Parts: sequence; structure tokens; C-alpha cells
Amino acid sequence: MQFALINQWIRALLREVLRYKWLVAGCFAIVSLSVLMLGAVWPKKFVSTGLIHADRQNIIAPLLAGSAEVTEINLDESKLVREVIFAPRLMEAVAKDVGLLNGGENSRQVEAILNSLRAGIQISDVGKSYIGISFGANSPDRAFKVVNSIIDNFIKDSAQTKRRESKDAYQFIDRQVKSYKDQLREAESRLKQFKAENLDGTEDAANTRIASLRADIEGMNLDLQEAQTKRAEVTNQLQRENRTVNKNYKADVYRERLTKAQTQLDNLRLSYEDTYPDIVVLKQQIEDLKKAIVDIDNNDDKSSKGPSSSDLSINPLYEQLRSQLAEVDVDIRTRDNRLQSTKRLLDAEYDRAKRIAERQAELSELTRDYTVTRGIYEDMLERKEKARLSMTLDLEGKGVTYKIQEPPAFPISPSGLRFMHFALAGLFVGAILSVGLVACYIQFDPRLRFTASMFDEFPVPILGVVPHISTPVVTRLMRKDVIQVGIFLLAVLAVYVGVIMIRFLGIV
Amino acid sequence: MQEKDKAKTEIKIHALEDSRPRREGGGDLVLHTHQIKNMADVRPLSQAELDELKIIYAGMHNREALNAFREIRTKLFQHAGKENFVLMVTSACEQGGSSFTSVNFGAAVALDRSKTSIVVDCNLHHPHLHLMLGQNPEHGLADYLEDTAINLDDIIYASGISRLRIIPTGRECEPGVEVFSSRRMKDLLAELRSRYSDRCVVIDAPPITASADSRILQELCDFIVLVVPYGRVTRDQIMSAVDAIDRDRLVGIICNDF
Repeated sequence: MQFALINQWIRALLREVLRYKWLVAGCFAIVSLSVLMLGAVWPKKFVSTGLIHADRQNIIAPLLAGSAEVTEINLDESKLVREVIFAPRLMEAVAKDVGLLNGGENSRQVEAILNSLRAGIQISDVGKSYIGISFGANSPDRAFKVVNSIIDNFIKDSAQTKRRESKDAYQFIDRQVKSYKDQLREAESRLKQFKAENLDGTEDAANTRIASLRADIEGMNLDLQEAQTKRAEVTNQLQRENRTVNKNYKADVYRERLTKAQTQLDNLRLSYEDTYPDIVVLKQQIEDLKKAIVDIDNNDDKSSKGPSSSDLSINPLYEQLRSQLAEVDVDIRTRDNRLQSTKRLLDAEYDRAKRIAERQAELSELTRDYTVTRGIYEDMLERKEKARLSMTLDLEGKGVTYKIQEPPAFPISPSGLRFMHFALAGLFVGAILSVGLVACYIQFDPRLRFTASMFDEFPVPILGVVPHISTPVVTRLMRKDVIQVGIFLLAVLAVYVGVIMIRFLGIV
Repeated sequence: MQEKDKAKTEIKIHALEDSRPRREGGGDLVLHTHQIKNMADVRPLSQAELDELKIIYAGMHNREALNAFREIRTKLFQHAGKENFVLMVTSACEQGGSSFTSVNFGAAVALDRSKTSIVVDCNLHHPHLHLMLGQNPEHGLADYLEDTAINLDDIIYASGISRLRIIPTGRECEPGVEVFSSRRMKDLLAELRSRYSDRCVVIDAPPITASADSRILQELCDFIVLVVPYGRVTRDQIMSAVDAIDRDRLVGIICNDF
């Protein structure tokens, strides 16, 4: 069914084209010739293209990874490049290079010129980290110059930008370091001043001192208590002893002497005879002693009434105890004094501690300031070193650079639509348009032309389809007409080819 | 009666076949009026002339057209059965090809040696059939319907194709005059139908949408076909034509000139 419809459609098309042959031929002629004329006046376009490479490879970067920042280029290469190139600064430089701007134009003209430049520039990503820059113009000279100028300016600019960036960063950090150093010094001096003014010392010192003083006081208290106990004890003992003592003891003394003498005598007797002078003396002494003892014993019996003052003597133990007591007293007094003065010291110390506590807040703030400032300063020093390293890296040209991968070529042949394209297109467009119009006419005309679709459409059946019958006269006329149209078309083609020839011979 | 008719038919046709005066030289058709009694005088149309008139004949180059009409004829005869029928051919628009179709249908019927056909030109305002005759005929259908003096035999003409007769319109009538509803027309058709066995009556009617004549005529016919020309009518026009025709009698559509 579908095939029959297509078949009929083509036959209908042919029939209508034959019917309207003059119109179709005329349309073809007009369209093709006008396309040809358009091609003849179409301006030539020359395009010059350069390729730049965004170089990211370098040996040092991985070695210094983490310690220096390599200025990264945005991954969206062509966009960034476009932004930089289209900026007025670079565009003006290019325009001046090429000769479009002479410096005398007002801002609107300048803007117009720059915009026309921008319109012709194409920037595209060509694979990984390659960027293509191209410019189309009417003359090859202009295209070439513009692309050259753009690439030159861009590469110079980007190198400068990179250096400037890292140098700026370094300088910034340097300034920061200086300012922090000043701050640190200030904090230090404030702290020093504070310490100079407040010799009280620190809280810890005061506390330690208080503790030691208290320990001392406690010790002293213990000692004092000990001394007092001793005094009490001595006093006690003193009370028990008599002040004086009988001479009886003298007898004891004599007896002791006697014993001694006897011992001595015995010793002498061992060595000497009794007639030895020492022994005789000693015997005499012993006799004296014995007599004294007997005397004392006899006196004792007589003096049982009471001691007389001549018989009394000072008890040595008593004397000793008394002296001990005196010592203890002195000791106690000494210790007490000491205790008191220590207590006074302790009070003074408490006052000091209070003063210190008052100043503590200020001190801690100053200390904190100082510590923090010092920390930051040290950090900034570190960064400064890093920045210096990066700067050196960039300055030496390592890091990311733009390089010319392919310099722009001088365009010898024009690109884009050329005359030949128009010439060929003209024929096609003419044919298609003219036949196409007829096809549209057939398609949109509501009158029936195809039986293939009619068989089911009406409530009555189709009895038959009678084909077109033409009479011999009509056929003859038709043939004549067709030949005339054919000649017309040939004439058009001749004109067509003629124009092409003229173009090639005339221009070339 | 049947046998008599049959004999009559045979004689007549036979007569036609026998006497065939040749045409003198080339050029135009020989000019003379043909009467049914003088069927034998009719010179048959040459192939060139038939081509010029766009009438089919056996052995023509355009096989497709010939076969198309044969098929139409066969279908109609199948539809009609055994009896003679009156077929009305009308078209959906002016110059739709109803005359062309009716004449060719008649010619297709006449291809069969055992059948005859007669085509009646009822296009009173745009007659066409007289062209086959070469010269304006003396009498035609309009004359017959107006003037009772004219006999049926006077208006039947031989067409130049064997076994095909035509009744031309005759003189032109004023538009608006309706003659087909008369008794005389009915009688005419009845007569035509019954005169011969195996005769097919074809009425070439004006376009159904153009005048009321066709609507009147359709009462008098057995079957009606609608001719739809190439590239002249829209679907809506065809549908309105179909609706205007009595559905019982409408056999089908013939697509013409496609």
C-alpha cells in the first residue's frame, strides 16, 4: 500500500512538473543564478590558527610537594585563556600591534574596534592542556598578524602575572611577619615592665614561702612545747631536791679518799718496802684520814640537834638543776621570740600573696599576649620561608608556563564558504527548491490526486481507475513545449558556467 | 418475440458489417447523417481518429486504459445480472470526464460481439457526443422531447464504432428548462431498453452538483456511477456528490485521468 502511494506520488509530481514546466524552469533559473551571484560577492575569509601548550610538568614540584605551593592554573583552560585575552588590556595591546588603534579614537570607537576583534577570535580546547587560538579576517595578512600578536601578548602577560602573583604573596607575608615582630616586642616590653614594677614575685613563690613559714612555725611550736615540758620537769625535780646538803658527805669523801689511798698503798706495797718514803707518807695520810672520819662521825652524833651553817653546803645537783632551769627558760624565751617574729613574717607573706593575687589577672593577660604573639610570629616566619621558596621557584620559570606549541601559519587559501561551494550549491538548491515547491503544492492541495488512499475512504466502492489518455496532438504539443523548456534550461546552465568561468579567469 | 428480436438484431448487425463504404482519401470524416436504418452506411472510425477522440479500441497502445474500461464493464455487468440496464454516468465537477467515460464504457461494451450499447447525451448545455459525428446532427434528444413529430429512429445515430449508437443532444436549450421529467423521456428510455436484448443504455448526465437534471435523471436509471477526475475535486466535494446520489442506485466511483 505504501509503495503504491509513493509510486503514485512520484507520478503525480512528474505530471505536475510537466504541467507547470515553465514555472519550474523559471524558479530554477532564478534561484540558482541568485545563489551564484551571492557566491560571487561573498567575502573571502582567511583563518590563521596558533596552538599554545599549558605546561604543568616540572621535576621540582613533586619533590617539594607540600612545602611550596605551585601556582595552579584553572583546569578550565580555554575559558580562563578567553577571559584573559578578551580583557580590554590585552585586546588594546593587540589592536595597537596590528594597527587598528592609533590612539586618537574616542572610547566608543575603541570599544567598537575591540568588539570587532573579539568577534573574530575563536578559542578552543584542543585535547589535554592544549589551547587553540584562531582569528578569521578578510585578508590573510590581518589574520596572521592578529593571531601572532595575541599569542605573544598572552604569553608575556601570563608569565608576568605568575611572577607578580608569587612576589606579591611573598611581600605580603613579609609585611605580616614584620608587624607581628613589632607586636611581639611590644608584648615583651610590657611584660618586662610589669615584672619590674611588681617584685612581689609570683603566686607560687608566695605560696611556697607561706608554706615553709607555716612549717617553721609549727616546728617552732613543737620545740617551744618541748622546752616548756622540760622546764616543768626540771622545776619539778628542783622542788624535790634540797638546796643544801650535809657534810656527811665529807665523810663519804674521806672514805673515798681513804679507799683510794689504801689502793695506792697496796700498789706501792707491791713494789716497795714499807720503809719507802712514799709508803710512809701514804700511811700517814691514811691515818689522818681515818682520824678525820672518826672525828666527823663523832661530830655527827653531837650535832643531831640541827645542822649548822658551817656543816651545810650547796647541793651541786640542785645547782645543776637550777642552771638547767635557767637554760631552759632562756631557750623558751628565745624560741618564743622567734616564733613571734616568724608569725609576723607569715602575716607579711599573706599580705604579699593578696597583692600578688590582685595583680595575677593582669600578669596572666600579659603573659598570654606574649605567648600567643610569639607563636604567631614563629608561624609567620615559617610561612615566609615557604613563600620565598615558591617565589624562587616561579621566578626560575618552573611551575606552570604557557608555551607556543605551534606558531600561527600564514593562511594562503581562504576557508569557509568559497565560490565553488556556492556554484555547486546553486544548482542543487535551485533544483530542490523548484521541485520542492511543486511537491508542496501537491501535498497541500486538498484536491485528490492519489487513488491509493481512496479505496477505503468512501462509502461506495471504487469501480475502476482510468489512466490518463492523451491525444496525439496534445502529445506533439507537449513534446514541443518540453523541448523549449529544455533549451531554456540549457541556456541557464550556459550562463551559469559562463559566470563561473569569468570568475576564475577574471579573478585568477 | 425474443427470437424475433434476436433475428432482427442479427440482421441489423450483419447489415452493418457488410456494407462498409470506404472513405475517400484522407482528411476529415465523411459528412452524412446516419440513421438507424442506414447503419450499413456508416464508415468506421480509424485508429487515428479514435486516438484523437480518446476512445478505446481493441489493440490500442494504451493497454492500461483498455483494461480499465473492460474491468469496469465487467463489474457493472456482474452487478446488473442478466437484464438490460440503464446506466447513468455523472461526474463530481464540471469537465469531470463523464462524457469520456460514458462513451468509452459504451465502446467497452461494444467490444463484445454479442452486446450493443447506446449512449444518450443528456448534457443539454455542454453537449459532447456530437463531436464523434463530425457534423451537427439534424435532430437530437432535445428536439425529440419537444417535438412529438420526431421519431426515436430519427435521433439514433451510428457512431462509427460497431455496436455503439449515440443519441446526441441536438440543439441547445436554454438553461433552467427541465425536460427530463416528461413522460416522453420515460418512454424513450423504456423503448431503448427493450428494443434489443443485450443492449446497454448509457446516459451521459451533467455533473451531479451542477444541475438538477441529474437528480431527475437518476430516477429513470437502474445504476449510477460517479466519475471523479484527477486533481480537480476535494474529498468533501466527492462526499457531497455521493450524498446527492441515490445510494441504492450508486454502484461506485470511477477515478478518471489518474
